[in-house]
Amino acid sequence: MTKPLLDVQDLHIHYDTDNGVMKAVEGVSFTVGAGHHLGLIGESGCGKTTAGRALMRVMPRNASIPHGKALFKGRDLVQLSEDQMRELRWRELSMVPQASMDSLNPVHRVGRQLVEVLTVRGEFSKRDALERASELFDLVGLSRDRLSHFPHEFSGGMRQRAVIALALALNPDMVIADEPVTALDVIVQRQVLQTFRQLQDRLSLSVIMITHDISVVAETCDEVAVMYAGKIVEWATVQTFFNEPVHPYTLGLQNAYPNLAKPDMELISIEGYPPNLLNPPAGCRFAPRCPFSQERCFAEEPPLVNVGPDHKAACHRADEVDMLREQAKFPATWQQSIENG
Amino acid sequence: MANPQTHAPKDTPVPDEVLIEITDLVKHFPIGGGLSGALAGKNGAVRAVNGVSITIRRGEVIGIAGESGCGKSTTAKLLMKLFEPTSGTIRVDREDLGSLKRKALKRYRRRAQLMFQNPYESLNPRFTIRRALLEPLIIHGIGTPEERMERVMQAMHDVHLRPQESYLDKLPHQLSGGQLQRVVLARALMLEPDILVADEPVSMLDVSVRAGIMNTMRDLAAKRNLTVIYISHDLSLLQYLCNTTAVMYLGRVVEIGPTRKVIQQPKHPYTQALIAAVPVPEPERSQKEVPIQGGVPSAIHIPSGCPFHPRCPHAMDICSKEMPKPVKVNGVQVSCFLYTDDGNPADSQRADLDR
Repeated sequence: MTKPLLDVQDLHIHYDTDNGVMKAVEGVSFTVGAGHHLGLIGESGCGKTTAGRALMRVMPRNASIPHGKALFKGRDLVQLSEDQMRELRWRELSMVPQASMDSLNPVHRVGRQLVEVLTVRGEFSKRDALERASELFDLVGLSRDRLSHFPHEFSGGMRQRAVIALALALNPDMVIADEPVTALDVIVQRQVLQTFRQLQDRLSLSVIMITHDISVVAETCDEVAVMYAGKIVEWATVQTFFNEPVHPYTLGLQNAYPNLAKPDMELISIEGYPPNLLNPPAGCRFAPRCPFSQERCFAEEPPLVNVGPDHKAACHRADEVDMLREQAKFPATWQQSIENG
Repeated sequence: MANPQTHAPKDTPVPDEVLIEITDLVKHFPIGGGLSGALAGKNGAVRAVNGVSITIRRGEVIGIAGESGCGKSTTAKLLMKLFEPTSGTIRVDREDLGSLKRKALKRYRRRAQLMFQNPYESLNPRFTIRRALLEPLIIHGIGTPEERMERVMQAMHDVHLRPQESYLDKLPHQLSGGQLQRVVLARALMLEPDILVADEPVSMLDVSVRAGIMNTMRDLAAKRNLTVIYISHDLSLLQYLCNTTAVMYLGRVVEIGPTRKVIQQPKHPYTQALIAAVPVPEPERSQKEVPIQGGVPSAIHIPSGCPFHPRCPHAMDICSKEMPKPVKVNGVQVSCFLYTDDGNPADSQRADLDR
């Protein structure tokens, strides 16, 4: 791969809380190439949204980045001043935040909100801005006459596409989309996901798709990074992620995920819950829930290392992967861990 | 996977005793005074449910699917008698719900339990788990204190909240979403109901936890011979849990039948589109074409004839004029003019529909 558009190195993000320091993201590294779509997946509290917001530098007051780099087109997003960040947001890097379809201003027409971004942030003249707004609506599959409508006249899917149009307004190189289809009905969800794919083809846009839904990743992403308790545990191309997963957490996630195309599949849950990040356990953070954990897993943290071409995983037992995959298919394997833990 | 105890309910035969008979159920919410009434015209109404007829047998696990605004949750609430229907009847054990008063109604509330989507909002935040579970028994005056506690322990055991002692004195905020939904399930079972209505019971939960709750609910339904009505937008969940699936569109059932048939060989053009749009966790699988676009139209101005006709890729002249009657096609009941009374696809459309 040529030089990546975004190169995140050993990123740490802490929240200062009344109960101590919560280490929401600890030592996360990944890259996103130009025109690539990376799926950042994991369950609530794994740090995926925190990481996305840190890259945009829109974090709550009590959050800090004590360590790490995020090189975006060669510049470190962590070190840029707030003024420099303001120059960069929207123009080079933009975001579709979680539940943002409800963040349009209800008293202004949608077109006006787009024009405002274009004229204030993008130095468009009023007339050019209107033309650009129409183009953007074409791009996301909304009809141009909708520009004069108010948000309440839009359906949920249309509002979501309007927010995507806003994020694309100034032609950024990368968009961070946080659960962009979670609240949508499936038919509209499909349309929004198709919009993202077409944007990749037409604009060679890079996307970080933050989601809990592995089927959304299957449909839209080139690569996947799996987060668990503040760390990346596996990073692979989408094909490898589904066909040759290595980390036991990834194996467990895939077991738990219903598939409409496999009516006879028996779902298996992962017993237990993720650790408290105020006081994370030593060693591998998945070890307490992992059916394959050994003494070493509780003592020594496994590094994220290459396990194949374009494929990394953080597991001490990665060299026994064939056996792990075989064993992981049986419900009994996963029940074991409750009795032990 | 050959383990008989984890046998999917969709494979178990459905017994024949009719438990719930829903006939021509209609629920309209008038758009009353105030600004919204003035804007919508005086006679406006949100026509949430428009003539739903479903027969549910004892021990059946039925799923009602559809997009937001299709009337599935309203149907569930009518079934729980949280609303009165505008017209139509719901009979449970041949008794009309509309006629239930006082004691009979209290008896019904005991046998039919409801489980909501959001476990964080379903429990009183100031009640310990012990009190939350004892409450229904106290309200209904069941058992001595010892017997009540015994029931609580048994219910907690059944929903896998073990060891029970470690949960009893906790408050809801001390538990995770998955644990809370197990408490909500245990509470629904305290009165030993025979009917359970679950509205999106796992959609708030994380994937790894969700599968566990689904398995627990499935096993409990089988063990206690519960009649369960699942309301969900998630067809893969219904495929996993239900013997029967009904698909609703704008307040009507467009297709209903054995889950496997409805999902693997959908007949109605709307069901076909809905199923084609569900994302599948397999990157190599080529995506199916979804022939329709956009969202469900407003339930205030419902299209004439078949309400799906403006979006339907197969719409014919008749579709905008008349309402299609349900016909049986290969064991599935479909309301669509593409199928004739003898249950065959109308000839001109046959090629399109074969999948």
